[in-house]
Amino acid sequence: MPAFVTLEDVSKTYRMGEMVIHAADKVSFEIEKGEFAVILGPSGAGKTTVLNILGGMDRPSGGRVWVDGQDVAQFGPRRLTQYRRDDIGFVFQFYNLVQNLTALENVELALQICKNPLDAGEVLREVGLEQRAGNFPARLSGGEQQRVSIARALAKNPKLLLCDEPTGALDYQTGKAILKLLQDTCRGRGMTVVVITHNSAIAPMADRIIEIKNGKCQRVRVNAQPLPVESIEW
Amino acid sequence: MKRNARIKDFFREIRGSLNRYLSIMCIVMLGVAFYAGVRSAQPDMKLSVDKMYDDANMMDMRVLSTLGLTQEDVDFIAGIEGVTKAEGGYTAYALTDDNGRHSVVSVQSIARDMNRLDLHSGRLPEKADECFLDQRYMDEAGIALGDTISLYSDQEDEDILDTLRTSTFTVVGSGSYAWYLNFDRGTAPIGNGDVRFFMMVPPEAFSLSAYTVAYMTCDAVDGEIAYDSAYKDYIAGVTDRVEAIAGERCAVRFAQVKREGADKIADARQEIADGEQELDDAKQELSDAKIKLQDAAQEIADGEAEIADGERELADAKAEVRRHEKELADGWAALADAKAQLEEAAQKIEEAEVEVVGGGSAISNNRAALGEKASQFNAFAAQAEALKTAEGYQNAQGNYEQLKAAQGAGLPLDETQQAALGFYDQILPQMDGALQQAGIANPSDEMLGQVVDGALQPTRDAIESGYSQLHAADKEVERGREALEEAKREYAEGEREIAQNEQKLRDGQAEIDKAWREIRIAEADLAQGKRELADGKKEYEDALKEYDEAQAEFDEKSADAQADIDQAKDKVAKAQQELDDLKEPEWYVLDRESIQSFVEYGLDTDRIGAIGQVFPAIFFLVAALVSLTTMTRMVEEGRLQIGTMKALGYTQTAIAGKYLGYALSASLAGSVLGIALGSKLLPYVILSAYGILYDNMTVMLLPIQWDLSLFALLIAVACTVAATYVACYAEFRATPAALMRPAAPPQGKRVLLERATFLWKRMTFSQKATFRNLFRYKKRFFMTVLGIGACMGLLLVAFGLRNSISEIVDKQYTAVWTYDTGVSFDDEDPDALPGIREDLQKTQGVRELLAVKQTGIEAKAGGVTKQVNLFVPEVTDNLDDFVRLRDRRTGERYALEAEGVVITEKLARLLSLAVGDEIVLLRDEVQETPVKVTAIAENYLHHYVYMTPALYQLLYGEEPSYGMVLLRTDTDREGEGAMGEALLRIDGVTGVSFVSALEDQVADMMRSLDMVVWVLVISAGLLAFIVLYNLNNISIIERRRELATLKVLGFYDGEVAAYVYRENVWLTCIGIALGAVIGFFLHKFVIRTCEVDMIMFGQSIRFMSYVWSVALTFLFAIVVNLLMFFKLRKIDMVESLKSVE
Repeated sequence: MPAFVTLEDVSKTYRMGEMVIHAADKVSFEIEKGEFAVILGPSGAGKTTVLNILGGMDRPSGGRVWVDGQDVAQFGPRRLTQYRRDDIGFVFQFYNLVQNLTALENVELALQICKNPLDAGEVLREVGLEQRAGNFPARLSGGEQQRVSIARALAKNPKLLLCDEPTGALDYQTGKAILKLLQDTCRGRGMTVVVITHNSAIAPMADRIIEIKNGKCQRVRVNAQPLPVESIEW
Repeated sequence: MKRNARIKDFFREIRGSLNRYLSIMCIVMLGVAFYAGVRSAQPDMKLSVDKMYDDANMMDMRVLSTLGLTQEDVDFIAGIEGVTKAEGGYTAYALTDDNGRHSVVSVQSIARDMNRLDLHSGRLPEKADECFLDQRYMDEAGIALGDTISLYSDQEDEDILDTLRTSTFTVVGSGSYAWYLNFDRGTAPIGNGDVRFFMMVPPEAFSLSAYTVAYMTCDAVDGEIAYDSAYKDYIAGVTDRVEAIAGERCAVRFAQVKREGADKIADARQEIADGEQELDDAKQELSDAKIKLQDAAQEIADGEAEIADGERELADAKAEVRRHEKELADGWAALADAKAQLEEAAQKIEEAEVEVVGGGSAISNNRAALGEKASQFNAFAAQAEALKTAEGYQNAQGNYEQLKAAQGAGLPLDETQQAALGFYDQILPQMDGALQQAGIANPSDEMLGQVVDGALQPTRDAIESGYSQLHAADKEVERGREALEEAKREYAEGEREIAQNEQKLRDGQAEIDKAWREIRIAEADLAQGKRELADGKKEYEDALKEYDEAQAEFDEKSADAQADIDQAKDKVAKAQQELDDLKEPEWYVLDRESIQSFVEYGLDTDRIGAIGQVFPAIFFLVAALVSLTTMTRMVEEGRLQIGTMKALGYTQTAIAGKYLGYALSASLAGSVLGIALGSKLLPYVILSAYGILYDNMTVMLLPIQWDLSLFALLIAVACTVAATYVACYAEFRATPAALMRPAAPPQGKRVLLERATFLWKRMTFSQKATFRNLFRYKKRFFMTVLGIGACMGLLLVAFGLRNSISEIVDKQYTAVWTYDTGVSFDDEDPDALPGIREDLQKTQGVRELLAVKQTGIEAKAGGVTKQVNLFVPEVTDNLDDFVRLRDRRTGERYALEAEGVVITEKLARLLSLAVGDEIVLLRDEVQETPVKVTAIAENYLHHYVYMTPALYQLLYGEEPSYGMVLLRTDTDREGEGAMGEALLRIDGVTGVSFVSALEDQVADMMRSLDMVVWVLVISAGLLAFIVLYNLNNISIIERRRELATLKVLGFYDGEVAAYVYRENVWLTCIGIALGAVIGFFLHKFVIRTCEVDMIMFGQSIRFMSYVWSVALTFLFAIVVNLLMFFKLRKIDMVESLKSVE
């Protein structure tokens, strides 16, 4: 039985006039169901490209992306959208909350289109924001916004939770708290979580560390003993 | 280098955001085009008409005088400061037969130096019997050059030749006259009051003694537009100066007219006197003739009597002559008898003579015989003596026996024997007898003696008696002789007498012959007399007939003549009255404002101007707001660059320059394009549209109205640039560092609606989100709502205008006028109606009919006077079947009431009348009749005053004369041609008009406004399109992240679009609601300003127009949103979310 997530020789090339840029160059790795995976690499290494492809936001130029037995790379735009809507939860560095909706409403926004969503209030409570549910994003701190963002992703009850530098815009403590939330979610719900970061210090908390550099997968490590976030310092 | 880089950046910016650049350009272009275009229409129209008037050298002013103007007056006017030229002219109204209808013609003299005609065909008239004809009428009536037009006057007692030298004019040319810009030829005081066409003739064609008008031109104001105040002020000055000399001139004219009038009246009186004299003479002559005729009749009667007498006399004479003839004949017969008798008598005389002679001789013989006898006897007696003795006897017996024996023996006996025997025979037997008798056998002597004597006695006696007889015979003969003598005498007498008688008879015959001759002559005379009498009689009869005829003629003519004389007297009296009443004349100094079509055109330009005040402003406002939002957005987008530039040390001016330049160039280019397009196209469309109404408008000047255009350009550019500057300025206040950080996105806000928790709770999530978003981008919200509202409003006005216009036709011809056909005839003839009515009832397809009187009068109230139609139905109970009088709003039906009139709505509005007010009706411009308004009825075309015939009679003191019959028919449109012909064949019918045909005519007329409607629809569409497209574009760019997030969350394209569209639908709905309100009021404003006096537009917008407007607005919105769909789909999640801006 293949892994829950399998990338086989995934490539993404951009043509810029004469130049061909390989944002991803035959990237292959696997992630098992319920794992907390970290994709690690410096800026511009192609992490986000890989995550976007994995999340159905972008299509690879080549290769296969197996998620729960389906080759996402073969999906058309509509199937991709459906894939995003049913199977994927996204958490961005800049939260990308809808400013005009309250915290709760931002979560509900995602639920509008879901097949079997979780209760928005419940999820918000889980991320510790039940008190701020009625607030607009502008009134929330960065961490709180990111929690809303995570709650929005979780409420959809996705197969995969993809987080693109979720702590990038947060201070250390908040960042840690968010990572903890993600780890707890992974553990508590058995959710497969993929986190992109350039911060290698975070790596020890993951079950699997995928290192990407210059668009290539350098190394995939499986961490048999992931550390709790609290014990990680950077 | 720096400059270069910035210029490059500038052009790249434009190229990179060409859509935005073009959209600014377009919206500015649209705004400016509309502003400059619609606003230019008014000055263009004015300019065009002014040019046309200048080209025709149309009069600037004219003077009308109540008593006409003389050449001297004209010369005086020409001398007034400011008047370049003055010229006298004539105008008159006449009637002509226009396909059996009396049509009014305005006959005018052709001016020498002004009021030039626009010749389309033929040439200008040169002779007094030539005319230049209205082209419109030429075309409509199918008149060709060379045809003639006959004119006659309205009043029977007026002769057209009093005004014109000839009544028949040959058409030598045709064309238009700038005086008449549209189809309206004005009104006239005669005929049906509507001038059908104009006719220009040389001044020589008029026989009037004074000019009716003096035209003036003022070259000083040729450069000015005649509608403008500069022109009007100048003309007002000249008017004052003309009015200044008016008093003096009027006094002169007054004296002249008085004198002339008095002369004329004197002449007329003389003429009347002559006429009366003539009439009297004629009467006298007739009565003389009558007397003569009577004499003649008497004479004839006498003559007849005479002839009768003559005849009788003649007959008598004839009878007498005949009697005479008969007498004569008898005479002759008698004469013949007499002659015969005479003859006989002669015979008898002869016989008698013979007899007498014979008698004489016999007597002599007898005497001789008797003598002898007596002698014998005596012998015998002597012998017998012998016998007296017995012996003697015996012897004698013896002897006797012997003798007898002898005799017996036949022995010759001598004489003595014989004598003896004779003797014995005579006596013896007798004696024997006597003796035997006596028985005496032996007589004695004595006895014998006795016997002898006895025997002798007879003889003796016989002789004796013979003698006495002889004596008697002698006497007889003597007597016979005497008788004969007598007879002879008588005979002679008879002969004489006969001769005498014969002579007499001959004379009588001669006389008779003469009488016959005379009778013949008399007969001939009589015949002659008879003939003469017959001739005389015939002559008399002829004379009588002649007389009768003369009498009849006289009766007839004298009545006429008397009537004429009476009329003439009346006229003279009236003239005298008039002359006495004659007020000093007044001059009316009129300018071009008195030219109806010119004024109407001016009013129409004002209407277009009014539209120009509203519509372009809306466009402009929207355009300005759109470019403002666009530029603001652009500056906001350029935030990072501004920060960078600032950080690099560029001055604010340099940085702002790019945006200002962008805005400036876009708006400038848009403005210039807009000016070019708008100034030429829109006025062209509008002028063309009006050209349908003003078909004589031959000039169309479409210059760029620089003041308007530059104003529009300046405003457009200023608005855009200022907006840009304001937007830039907001950015410049921030530090470069702040600028380089992403701008804090606008905060989410609770909307008011959320406070209504019970409502908010019930709303779905997307609805909530939609509402939040709606109010989040306030600028966009207002812009969109305004844009859509403007679009909706324009559409609504456009459709509403069409409704209002078509409603005139629809409602007027179906709801108000429910009759189908109007049949007109001569209302002068009161006997025409019954016959026509009967014929109409027999006409196939006619269901119902109603006779009406329709006549043009003036109505006045509160100092405002309007031309109205007085409408009097013959009966009022079925009026509702033909003309529906009802309230427009409530639909309540009105009936005509005895105490007042029903007037139509527009009239009520123009005269500010309400039910219960009084309206003053003017007839013949003098007779003012106030009457109460009992109801105000819906009506769209013309003004009507309805009243009952009873009220008419009460007001005007006469029965209304009906000149029209309204019909309701079963005929459809196809059948109307045949029906029309049938109706026109009816004796006395002069015209037939079908409501359907009127409907078509008006519909045609209204088509010109339809074009304006389409301009508005298209503009509205363009406006909606540009505004919505632009705003949506901005909106999508602004919300790119949000939309990308939705996509990432797995929203399908449709759902993403729906997320946006929901807002747009709401915006569109709100915009439509606002637009409906805008449109409603704008429509009211527009129809009030567009409407002409004679017409009331439909006041309401139809439901379907709302539907159409909404549908079209939605359609435009949908089209724009569909275009947006592709834009939405193109949003790249990765790219949108990657950068933080």
